[in-house]
Amino acid sequence: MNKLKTAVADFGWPRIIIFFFVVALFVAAPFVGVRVDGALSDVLARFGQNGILVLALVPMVQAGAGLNFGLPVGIIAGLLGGTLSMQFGWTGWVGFLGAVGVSLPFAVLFGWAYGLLLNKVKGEEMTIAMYVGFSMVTFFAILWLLLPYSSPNMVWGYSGSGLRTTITLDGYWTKILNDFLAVRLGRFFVFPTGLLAFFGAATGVMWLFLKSKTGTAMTAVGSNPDFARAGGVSSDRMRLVSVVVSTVFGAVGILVYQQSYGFIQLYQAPLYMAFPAVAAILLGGASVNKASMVNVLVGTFLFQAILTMTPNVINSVLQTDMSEVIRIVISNGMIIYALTRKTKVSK
Amino acid sequence: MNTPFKLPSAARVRRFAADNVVVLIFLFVTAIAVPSSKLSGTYIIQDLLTRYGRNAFLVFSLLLPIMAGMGINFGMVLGAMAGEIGLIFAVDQGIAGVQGLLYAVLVGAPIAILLGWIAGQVLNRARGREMVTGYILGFFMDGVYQFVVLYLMGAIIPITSKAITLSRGYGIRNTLGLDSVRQSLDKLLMLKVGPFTLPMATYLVIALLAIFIVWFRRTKLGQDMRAIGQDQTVSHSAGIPVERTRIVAIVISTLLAMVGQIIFLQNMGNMATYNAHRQTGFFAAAAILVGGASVAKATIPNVLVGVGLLHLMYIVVPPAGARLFGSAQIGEYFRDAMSYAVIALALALHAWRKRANAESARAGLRGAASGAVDPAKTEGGAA
Amino acid sequence: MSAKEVSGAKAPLRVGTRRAAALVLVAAAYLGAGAWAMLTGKSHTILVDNKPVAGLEAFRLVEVAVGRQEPVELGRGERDKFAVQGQRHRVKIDLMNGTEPVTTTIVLPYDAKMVLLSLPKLAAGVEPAWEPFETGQDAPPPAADELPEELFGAAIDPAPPESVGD
Repeated sequence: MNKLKTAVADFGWPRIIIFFFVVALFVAAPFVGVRVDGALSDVLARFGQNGILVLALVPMVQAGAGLNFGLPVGIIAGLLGGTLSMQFGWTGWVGFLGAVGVSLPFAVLFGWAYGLLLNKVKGEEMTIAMYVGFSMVTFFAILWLLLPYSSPNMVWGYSGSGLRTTITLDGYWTKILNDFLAVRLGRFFVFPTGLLAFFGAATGVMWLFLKSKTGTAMTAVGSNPDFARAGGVSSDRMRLVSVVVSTVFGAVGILVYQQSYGFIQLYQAPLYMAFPAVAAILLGGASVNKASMVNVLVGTFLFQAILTMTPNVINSVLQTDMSEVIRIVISNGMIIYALTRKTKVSK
Repeated sequence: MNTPFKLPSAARVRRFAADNVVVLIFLFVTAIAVPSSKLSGTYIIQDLLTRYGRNAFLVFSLLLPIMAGMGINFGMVLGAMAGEIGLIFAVDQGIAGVQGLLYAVLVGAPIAILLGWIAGQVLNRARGREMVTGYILGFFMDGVYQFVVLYLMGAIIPITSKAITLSRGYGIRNTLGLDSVRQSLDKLLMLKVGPFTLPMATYLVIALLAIFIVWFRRTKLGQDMRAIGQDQTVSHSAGIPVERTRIVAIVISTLLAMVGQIIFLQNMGNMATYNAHRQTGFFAAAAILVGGASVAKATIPNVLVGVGLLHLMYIVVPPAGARLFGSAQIGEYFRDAMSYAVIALALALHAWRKRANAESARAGLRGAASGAVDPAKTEGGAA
Repeated sequence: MSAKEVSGAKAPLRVGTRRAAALVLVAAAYLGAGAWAMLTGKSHTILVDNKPVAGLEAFRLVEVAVGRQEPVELGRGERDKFAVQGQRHRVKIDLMNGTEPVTTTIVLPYDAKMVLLSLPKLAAGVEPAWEPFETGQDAPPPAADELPEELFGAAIDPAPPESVGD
């Protein structure tokens, strides 16, 4: 009983309440005329779509650099990869994998610079990361207008220059992962095999990385900097590695997100993209200084389940669209909860 | 915080430049943009005079939390929301003119005190990461605000005017016309000086606030706040109620932000019901940091310089962008990017220095008692 | 808020009294300011009406002014409006025929948004010269700006995909 109590306290009441909220939504769905299989199919697709962006947060949390509110830095690298791949006229698998390939060097470069900065500001990472992300996004908004992109599918029709706000991926790599080996069961349920396999592979890579020598050293730096220093591990170097890995996963994450979404969104769109990812990982049980693969999987699933189910179920019940309010309150409430928790002594 | 470096006098200039790098970068960019904007001096000055009246009060609301060592109070948007609720009621009740503004302030005050108290409680639990927590708290309360204004108003909270409610019968419309109170404070006392009009009543309110802050710093409470800003542990052992004083700082800041938002909106003349507060914290933070303030130290001149510089840039950069790149849009992105970058840079510089100080202190200590004193406060955000 | 009080108090015994006094003072100031703002700031619309009513003739030409506002001229059967604040107003009627202008004070009820003030009644000294005026509809709903459009999909989660996918 005591064990259960500490487990509950450890997990936190807000998470438990939200968990039961999600269960209640699924239970209530059939009664208000929402198809559970269709909803579940949506949840799975969005789970795979957003998962890697959430996964990207893990290394920095583990290295003690906090929640990566500067995820847009990686997202921008991904957008560069995506738009360049389109500009080169690559389509299908070549296009998608090409986009990933092109974005990687940018992600490493941006992540490295971003990591150097964060190393200088230990203890204040989160606020600064947020504003680094914001300025990166707005700075790139200028570049989207100025860079010499010329593919007629991407630039504004009338002026012939400057990228559009939203670029469709139709004819390039729309849903290429989602549709790969997808299994259709009945009219409403589709299992996005390729998407989930890719997400699973990414999770596996991250897991292996964390288990590797570098990964364990990184975790050591995060959980006990003095001990790590005594062991001869360079804290700055490990943090830098964590930021680079996080940024690379951010870049890949946005490309996966967009192939599922079907559009590349530029300009202001990535501004707030870090927040849902942060909310998701916290919802999964992560704290500001500890995160695991389980946190990512559980959190992403729960968060996307809320986002998918509330508009359907709540709206049918209340006859009004309250989902926006619920989403804002739950996701930000979760972040505040995590930020205000007494920092636990590292295990 | 006390200057740890003994500087050779030759390095004084460099030190000055390093201390004011944010201001200098900003001055440099604006200096380039002013001539290329091709705006007339009269236009720029008049616009600046208007923007001073509109924005200065809001920026002042950031001073006290900085003094209390809580960084930039991004949670000031809570106050802005309280002000907006006040204005909704003033418009709904048909209270016009300056009285309408006063009415809005009176309605907003208890809401602002309540929200500020909540924010203070939350921030007391998030020591060392007040800024990011305050920022997210703004998002969170935005959701609550939407819930209240979009769903409760007209349904549970009585709203009499059909002109401001959505046609479905409850919820406030997306845009609220503030005709009844439009510029009523500004126009109360307009002074014509040459080609310029100065909203003297607004300036007077701002001046009163500045005097209040000067006075407040000297009160016992103000002294306590400064002591807490210097060192919480020492203040606590000196018998200062740390948590309570921090809450008071946030409550006052929220109250001031509430009044500031009402002054801001009366000048604008209409209100985007669900978006008006979203950028409030960003603009105020950018202004005070551009003015040379840091996260730990901010003065009244910082506010005045900052509002002027930031808004000078906001005036001149879009037309300059249109001339230099053929697109005003580029100018608009540029000024946003600049403002975000200034916030990031100012925060980074401060964190950087604080860490350098802490490390040099630690290096000094390590010889005597290795690892005995850790700058726990500094590590709090991440460790 | 009461913390300010503590700073001023020297003798601990008197803190309670002083705090209570300050509280009463603040409450009184709050209510007083609120009452003043509501009473003097409440906006009303006065429709001035120059039409024959209840056996009274309309004036051929009349100049009417409410408070210190610019006077308006009304011919027979004409109507105009004044936007005013507060409940007590001086109405000046000038018949423009050499006779002395007549000034009358009217007091409106607090919750009357719009009143119809009959000038012939006012000139004849009929009490009350005004009656509440109900408009059929309360400002037409602006079509364009119905629901907060940017609200959904802004802020936190950028554009939920099903909105496009379906």
